[in-house]
Amino acid sequence: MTLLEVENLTTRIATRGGAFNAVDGVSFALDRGEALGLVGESGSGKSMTCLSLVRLLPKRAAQIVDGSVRLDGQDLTALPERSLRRLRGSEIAMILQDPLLSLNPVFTIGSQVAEAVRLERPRPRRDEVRARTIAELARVHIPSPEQRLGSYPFQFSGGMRQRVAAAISIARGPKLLIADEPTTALDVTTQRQFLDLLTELRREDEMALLLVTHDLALVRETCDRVAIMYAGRIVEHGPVGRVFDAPSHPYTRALLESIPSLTGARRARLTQIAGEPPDMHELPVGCRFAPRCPFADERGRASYPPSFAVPGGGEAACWLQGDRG
Amino acid sequence: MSDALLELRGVTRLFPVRGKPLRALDGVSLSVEPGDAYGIAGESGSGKSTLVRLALLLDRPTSGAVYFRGRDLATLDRAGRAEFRRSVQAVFQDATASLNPRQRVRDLVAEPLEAQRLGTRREIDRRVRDGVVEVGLPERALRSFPHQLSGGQRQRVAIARALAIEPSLVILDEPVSALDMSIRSQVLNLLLELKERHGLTYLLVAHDLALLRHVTDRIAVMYLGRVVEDGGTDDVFASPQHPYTEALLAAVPGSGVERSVVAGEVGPASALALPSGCRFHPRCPHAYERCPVDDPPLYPAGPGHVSACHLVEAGTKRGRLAAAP
Repeated sequence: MTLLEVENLTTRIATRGGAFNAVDGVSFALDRGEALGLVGESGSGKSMTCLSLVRLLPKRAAQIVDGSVRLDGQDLTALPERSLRRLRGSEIAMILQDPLLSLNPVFTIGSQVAEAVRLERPRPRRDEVRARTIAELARVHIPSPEQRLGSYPFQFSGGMRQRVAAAISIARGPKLLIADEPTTALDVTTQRQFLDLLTELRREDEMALLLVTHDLALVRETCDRVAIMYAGRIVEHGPVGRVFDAPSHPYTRALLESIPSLTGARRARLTQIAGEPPDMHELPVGCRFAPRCPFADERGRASYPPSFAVPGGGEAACWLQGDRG
Repeated sequence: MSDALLELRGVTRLFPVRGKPLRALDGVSLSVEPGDAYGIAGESGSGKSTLVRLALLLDRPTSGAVYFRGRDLATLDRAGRAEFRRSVQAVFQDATASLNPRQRVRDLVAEPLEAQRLGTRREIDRRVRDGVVEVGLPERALRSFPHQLSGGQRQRVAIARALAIEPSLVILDEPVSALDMSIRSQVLNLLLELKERHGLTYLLVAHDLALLRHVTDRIAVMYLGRVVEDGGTDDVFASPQHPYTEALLAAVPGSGVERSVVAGEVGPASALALPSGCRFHPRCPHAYERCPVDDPPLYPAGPGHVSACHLVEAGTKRGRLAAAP
């Protein structure tokens, strides 16, 4: 059953160099309990998409100018701020990259988790708060949580801090968890532990996950579906199996081929994507990837391709996919 | 005297922290031969950064010694140090931080040449131009300031600057981890090309194992200030001889390895309160009675391959550790 339906979402950013659409007509849907990976490079619009979903955009500088975001059928873009504030945390929660920034350094771990616990409805009795706080910390596998209530964030390692951030986010049982680069600041072994935790929490509560990352391999392991963003648009999406095994869009393909693997030939020249992502102020008229695309032809340079269905699931915004039928 | 280019012998570096010694490096020995691409793998707290600082003569060991071409760096006089700095250069993770924002590319790349008085102004101009073009930048970039360049271009400037004085050893400290996905392979290909063309020796420090595997031919894996495994890259990846190396490999997303994820994490206090015996034993799935008691030395684990694991000495480690408990 569809939980989240994003349609033609367009978010405009005003900068000194002029305004541009950081998110440009993005559409996707997310089922209850499903995990979708949103992959893109810096400036591709993946984080702006997340912030648009919960309308936490910087005031004045950025604005949703078109499209809708429906959660359980309710359009969040049309909701008054008051109602939206009620949804944040209870229905949609977020985990950010750096828990050092999302946790308050001068309050104890216990008081910060308790703050989220107290917001639950029905409101827990005062004597219940402590027990619930300990339970939430135990859920994210903080060892001996009752002894850690009085600790401060700086006394925790990076992985433990991110667990605490997760405990706060999921305390109220949200239906959707948005995680923006949640493991980028973590060590390799800790990264894996945290991803396993996210998957576990998702299965327990049928919570949907929107995982924003630049790491393709991570999406393959954690998500059901993946959407690839480039210069503000989704260029390809589909089930992870299909996208990783048979990528359709030249950008997706090149990305997958350009990453050194644990099995590929060593020292072999890696596939390169020529050039750099476009300046958002001076976007190409046609396909935004065309200037870097080895397969681009007149059509691609002249007009942006519509999304064509890809056999095996999903769609790709590439004229060549249209030709393949 | 060995013919190593850079050699560390029993290097220990202590930092006093509130009266207690923090063992950032603890008896590390390794030897980088001319022409090597030598990799250092490790997570936070492993001592990678301290090792880089010592190898660049930016810091001195508490005990043990660092040798360059057989000469102890601690004994170098002024002229010797100048010669050392002509032979060893570094490229760091964040070119934005390592390049002076108020200097133009021409001056940034010329600076090491001028500091070492290598040539007349005309010769320097020519070498700077050639160097900038060689790393794939347009000649007009010479007049740019770092902020006018993209992240990938800035890293190219840092590489041109490092190579300008034709060093024999280049220390690469996470050279691509700050770059976007589609730019990483460009820079990696460039680094491999330059190594071939100029017969360079690389010491590559990175947390990304697939990257290390792609670039290096020898690799040392570090954990809490120690080298726990050292060997030919092919050997280490095909048949890791230390449980920590195994854990790192298993944690690589997309490795396809479904082995148990190692528990625990290196936290802020780990290096101050080192575990007894083997430092990895509290997290090791294979630890037995001997491990908390006996600190393992590096045991031979194959041709040119050593591992600090008692299982290796006991000979119980055959192929993969996976067979144990």
